[in-house]
Amino acid sequence: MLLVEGLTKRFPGRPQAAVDSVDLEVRDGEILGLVGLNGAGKTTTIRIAAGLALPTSGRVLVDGWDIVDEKQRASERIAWVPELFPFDSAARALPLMVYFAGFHGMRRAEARAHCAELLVRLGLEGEEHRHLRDYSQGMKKRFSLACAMISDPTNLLLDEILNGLDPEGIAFVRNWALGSRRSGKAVLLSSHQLAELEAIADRVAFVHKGRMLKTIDRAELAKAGTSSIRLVIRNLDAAALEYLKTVGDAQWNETTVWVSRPTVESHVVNAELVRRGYEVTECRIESTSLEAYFLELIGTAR
Amino acid sequence: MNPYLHELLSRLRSRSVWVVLVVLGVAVALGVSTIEGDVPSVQINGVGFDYYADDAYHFEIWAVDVSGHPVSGVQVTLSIAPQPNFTTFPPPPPPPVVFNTTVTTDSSGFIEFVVPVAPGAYAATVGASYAAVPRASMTGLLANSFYFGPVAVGEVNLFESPVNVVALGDYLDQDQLLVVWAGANGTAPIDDSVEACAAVVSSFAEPEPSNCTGLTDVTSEGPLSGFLTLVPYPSLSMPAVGMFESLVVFVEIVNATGGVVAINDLQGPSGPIPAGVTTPAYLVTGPGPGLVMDLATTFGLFVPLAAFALAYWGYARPRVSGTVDMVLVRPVTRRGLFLVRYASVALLMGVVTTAAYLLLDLAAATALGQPIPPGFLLALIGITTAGSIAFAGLIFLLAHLFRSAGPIIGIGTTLLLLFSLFWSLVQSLPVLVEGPVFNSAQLLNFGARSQLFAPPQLPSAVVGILTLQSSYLEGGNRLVYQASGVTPAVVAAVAVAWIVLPFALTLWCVARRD
Repeated sequence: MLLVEGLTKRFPGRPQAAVDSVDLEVRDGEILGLVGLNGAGKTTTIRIAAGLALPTSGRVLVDGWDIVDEKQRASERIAWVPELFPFDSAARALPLMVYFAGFHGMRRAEARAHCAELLVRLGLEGEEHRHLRDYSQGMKKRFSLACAMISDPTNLLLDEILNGLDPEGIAFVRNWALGSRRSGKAVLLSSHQLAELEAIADRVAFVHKGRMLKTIDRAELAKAGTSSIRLVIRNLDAAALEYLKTVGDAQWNETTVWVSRPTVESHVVNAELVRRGYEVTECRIESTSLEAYFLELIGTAR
Repeated sequence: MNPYLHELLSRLRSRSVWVVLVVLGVAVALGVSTIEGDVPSVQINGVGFDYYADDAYHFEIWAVDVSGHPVSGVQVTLSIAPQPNFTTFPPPPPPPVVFNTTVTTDSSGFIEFVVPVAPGAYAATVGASYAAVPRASMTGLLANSFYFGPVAVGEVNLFESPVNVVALGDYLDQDQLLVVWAGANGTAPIDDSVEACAAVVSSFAEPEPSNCTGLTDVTSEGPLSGFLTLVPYPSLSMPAVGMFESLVVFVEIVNATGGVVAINDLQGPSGPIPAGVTTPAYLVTGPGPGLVMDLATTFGLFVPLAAFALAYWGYARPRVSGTVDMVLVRPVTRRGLFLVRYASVALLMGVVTTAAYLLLDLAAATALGQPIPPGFLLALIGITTAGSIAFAGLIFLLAHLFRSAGPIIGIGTTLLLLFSLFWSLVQSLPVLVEGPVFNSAQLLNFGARSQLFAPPQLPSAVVGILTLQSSYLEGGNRLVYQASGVTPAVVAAVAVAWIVLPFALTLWCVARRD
């Protein structure tokens, strides 16, 4: 569990606090979405929580350990995946991971086996000894996730990690985050892709100009508006439409279908269509509801 | 394994270690070539004269090293043939050699050849070898061909001034002057006396002093004891020499009636130096800077360069590129990581510098038959390592002052070049500022003190402090440093300050965090 209490961060020469008295709780087995405009303080909050920056006041507890005063114990239990690729591009994947693993007390042979297995799990089998500069954007993100999993931490800080990913990459990260939640981890996910957050977050926290505006749960999220599932089905037919009408209000145009107010999650719809032999080339959630809610919130805040 | 121990071992195994090994490999290669280059700087001078008496030329030589110490065991060969007649064409075949003898200098460095030939013009060649030092080079009379002209009976054909003084610079690194004096027919005028005097005079003094008369600091005098006389050097303390003053030293031979029969001015011009002349003329120039000093200079550049590479690749670059964040999210503290990486640089520099110097010591022992003295070696290893750690500390600090690699590389490279290759420009600043009237004593003083402001200069300063210029392995000038107040304790304190200050500032930056 990650607990942020009264967190404030002021940078020298800037009158306004980058983070101002923020309180936050990410429970075990929960994904907390963090939403805010650029410069709202999301990344600063996450960097402080990761132990990379000092708070001006307030504290961050990671499973009860203070990230400042008990850094080593707290860091054993937390992982950070930033938006930008933070690795030496001249390094090779596996040796770099083995190096990181050494900080968690793993012996060399043990670390090699563990990290190689992680790379396989993240879909980087056969790429272990390539230079990181030769990795694609998606591979880099998978490598970042693999590095975050080295110590199997109970808390994950994911900072705008969906940016720059193609649909396949987004789906991978989404499933990875959901898997982490299922295994009982506390996940803090900041993102501008509000539809994605709406789909996977248990709660969403809104920050604006360094201050926490509001935190809402899924029930409140549902009340805030409706989302729709956008599907592109190459062999769309009447039977498929018949099924889709049972899970929401379906509207279509040639091979594209929008299912608004869905009663089941998008991956369930996708799985059922595939099971029935349909060729689904795109499945994503479209929503203006969270966005509208957020804009209304910050409008009030202004 | 403890995460910090893991980090330390990882640093010691990292690729940047190879960079350091390559850089220091180049330094060792240069050092070995320095050793080779220093072999010819093993100089043995010859001073002497000839006279004709008893139907023979008497040809007398003293072999002395660059500090004026007699050198025994020098094998000197004198070969004499009549002067060829070039008035006809084609020229006749060279006349046969009439005298060819090899003699070894005795403990006083003295040799006398007696050549029983009729008076006339002869071409003489002096060759010499010195078994104690392979490939030692000979200068002066010991390596010359010269015209051995007819000398009237009862007169002396002096190759140099009657008074030959072997001394070095303004601040002699020896206790005594070697005075060579020859009287008629090779007789030493033992009734005469030698007087050495020194004084500080204003560059604008008028009249310009030309001998000891009127100078108040006459400190050494005594009878001539023979052809070769050693007299105490007149000492003056360095701080006594002001900005527009010069130190002048005269050596005079005074006869029994008090008349001055010969004067030799060690200092050259003592008044205002003419425009365009920046270096006073000395009687004897010193050898090359010496092996140990050469090594200190070479390593003064390359060891900090290696430290620069280590500090940049191991700390500054990961920091400014942000890749260090992926380490900092692990169970380590920022301060702990800094301390471990700093320690790894210090440890590596110590080990690799020691290994490099030991290799060079082996090379010196093999090439010259004389290893670097252990005291020098330890001092060199210590101060070179300290200087490199100090320089690495600056790079660690720069990593916290700038957020991109450009300024760190730019400033680091500029400092390294300034501190090593171009430091002589800094040392000559007084001349640029004051013009040629700035006296050389003051310049030496400034040069010695300036070295304290540049970590890569510290090895050179230590060599200078620890050595007298009396051995070919050495290149120092202890008295300059003594007179400048640059003592071993001062250098040690400065080295510690150079290490501690950037370290403490960096630690403060680390504690502040971003």
